[in-house]
Amino acid sequence: MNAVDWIVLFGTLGTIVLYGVMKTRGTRNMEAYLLGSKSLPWWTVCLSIMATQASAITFLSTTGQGYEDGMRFLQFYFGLPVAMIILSVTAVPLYHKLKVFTAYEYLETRFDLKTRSLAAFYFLMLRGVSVGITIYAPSLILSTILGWNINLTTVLIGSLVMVYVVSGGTKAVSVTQKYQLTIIMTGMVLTGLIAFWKLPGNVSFSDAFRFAGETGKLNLINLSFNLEDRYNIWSGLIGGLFLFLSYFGADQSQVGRYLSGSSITESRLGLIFNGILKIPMQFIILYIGLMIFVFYQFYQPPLIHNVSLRDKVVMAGAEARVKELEAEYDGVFLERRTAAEGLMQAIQGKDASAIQTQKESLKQAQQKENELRNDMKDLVKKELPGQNPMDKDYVFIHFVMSYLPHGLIGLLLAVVFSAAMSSMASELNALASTTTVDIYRRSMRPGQSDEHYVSASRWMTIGWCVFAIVFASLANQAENLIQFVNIVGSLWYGTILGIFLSAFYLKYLRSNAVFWGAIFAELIILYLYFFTKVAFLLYNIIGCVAVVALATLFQLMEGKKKRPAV
Amino acid sequence: MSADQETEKPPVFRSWAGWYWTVLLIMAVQLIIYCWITFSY
Repeated sequence: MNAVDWIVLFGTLGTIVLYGVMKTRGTRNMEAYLLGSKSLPWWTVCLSIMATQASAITFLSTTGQGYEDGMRFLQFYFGLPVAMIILSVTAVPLYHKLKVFTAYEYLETRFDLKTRSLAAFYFLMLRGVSVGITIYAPSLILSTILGWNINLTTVLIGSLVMVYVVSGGTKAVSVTQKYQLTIIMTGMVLTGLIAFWKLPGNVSFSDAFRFAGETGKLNLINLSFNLEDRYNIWSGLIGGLFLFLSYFGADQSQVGRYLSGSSITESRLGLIFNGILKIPMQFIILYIGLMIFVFYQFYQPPLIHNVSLRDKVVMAGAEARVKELEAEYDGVFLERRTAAEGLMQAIQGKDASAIQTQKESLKQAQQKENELRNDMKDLVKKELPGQNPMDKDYVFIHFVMSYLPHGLIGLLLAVVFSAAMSSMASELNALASTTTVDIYRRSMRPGQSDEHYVSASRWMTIGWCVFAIVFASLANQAENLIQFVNIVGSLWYGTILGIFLSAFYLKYLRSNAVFWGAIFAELIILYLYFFTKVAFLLYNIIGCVAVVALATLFQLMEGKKKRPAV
Repeated sequence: MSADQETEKPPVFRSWAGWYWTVLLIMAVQLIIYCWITFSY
C-alpha cells in the first residue's frame, strides 16, 4: 500500500458517504425515511437489490470457492430467476396495494398481531445475528491484511455506514448502493483481466478456459441427486427457489429495496432484471477465482494464503519447521509448474494422449502440494490454538495485494469495504424499520407523529449498528461462528416463507393454526440442525412445508372442535 | 392474472407474461451453455 492507494481508498469511501448524506438530507416523514418516498426507478431498485445480496464475504469467499472448488457453487443461484417471477406476480402488487412499510405489516391484515409479531421476531433473530457477521467477516480479513486492529476496522465500517443510513434512511441506502455496485464490479473485472494478462505470453483466453476444464474446475452442473451434497442442480433449483422466495419475499432487507420503487412496474422490473443478471454476475466472480487458479499454476502461491499466520507461527517458535516446509514446497511447486506447462502445451497442440499424461503428472504434483499445505495448516493449529487455518477467503485479497498495481490495490480495498457497507446498510435499515414499525409503533407507542417515528427509526439504526459492532467484537473470541451463521438464514427462512405462503395462497388457514404451525415447524428445523446431517439448503423446503402441513392440521382440528355436536 | 397486473402495462411487452418468459428463456439458454461447458471441457 502506498499513498496513492490510501487516497483512492478513502477518497472512494468518503465520496460515497458524502453523496449518501447530501442526496437525502432533510428526510422527515415516515414514507420518505422508510420507503425513500417510493420514488426510485427500476434500475436503481435492481442495483440496490444486487448490492444488498452481495456482501464483502460474497466477493472474498466466492473467488476463493472458484479457486479451490471450481464453478459448482453457481448452482446455488439457479432457483433465483423463478423466485423473481413468482414474487413479481404475487408479493409486489400486494405490498404496493396495501401500502405497507414492512412485509410483516401485511401479516396482521391477513392474520393477526401475534402472527405478525412472530414473523418480525424470527426476522430480527436471523438478521440481527447476520448483520454482526456482515461486518465481522470482512473486518477480520481486512485487519489481517492491513495489519489493523480488528475492533478498529469494525468500528470504521460501522461508523461510515451509520452516518448515511441514519441521515437519509432507505433512499440513502439505495442511491449509494448503485455506485457501490458499479465500483465493485469494475474492480472485480479489472482483477480478473490482470490475472489473465499476467499469464505467460503464449496462453490465450481459450487456452486458460480449456486448462481450467481439464483440471476439473468447470464443474458448473452436477446432475447427481444427493441430499447431503450442498451444491447440485436439484438443491439449487428446488432448495434455492425456496430460499430466494423467502429472502426476497419475506426478508425486510430485500422487501425494503423494491418497496422503494416508484410503482409496481418499477419494483417488478427491478426484480426481473435481478433474475436476469444475478447468475451471470456470480459466474464472473467465480471465473475470476478460476483465473487466479490458472495464474498460480505458473507463479508460486504462498504456502498459506493468510500469510500473517505464517509469521505468527514463526514468532511462536516453529521457524525451523516452517522453513523446512517452505523448502519442500519450493521443490514441489517447480514440479507442478513443469506439469502445468506440459499440460498447457498439450492443450495448445490438441494432443489427447499428452493431455492425459500431463493431467496425471499435474494431479500427482497437486496432491503433494496439498499435503504440504495441510501440514502447514496442522502446524498453525498446533502452534496457534484457536486460530482458524482455513485460507480460502484470503486467496483473492492476497492476490490483489501482491500482484495488482498501486492505485488499483486501493480501489480493490474500496471494493471490499463498499460491499460490506452496502449489505450492512440494507440490513440496518431493515432492522430499524421492522423494530420501529412492527414492534415500537404497533405495540409500544402507537399514535405518535411522523417526526417521532422517524426519530425513533434513527435511534433504532444507531442501536442496531452498535449491536452489530459489539457482536463482531465478541465473534472474534468464538470459533466456527461464521460457519454457524452461514446456515442461520436457512434455519429461519423456511418457516418465515411458510407463514407468507399461507398468507398469500391458502385462504382456508386462520391465524391460530398458522401461528402454532410456525412454532412447531421451527422446532422441527432446529431438531434437524442439531441431530441430523440434512443439507442446510433443504431446511428452507422442510420448514416451509412443515408450516403449511401443521397449520392445515391445526386448522382441521380447530374446525372439528368448533363444529356443533349432532 | 390479478387486477394490478392488468392496470399497469409493462414497457416493451404487451403483458407481464412477456417479461416472465424472457427471464425463463434466458435461464434456459444459460443452463444449456453451462451443461455444454461442463460436459465438453
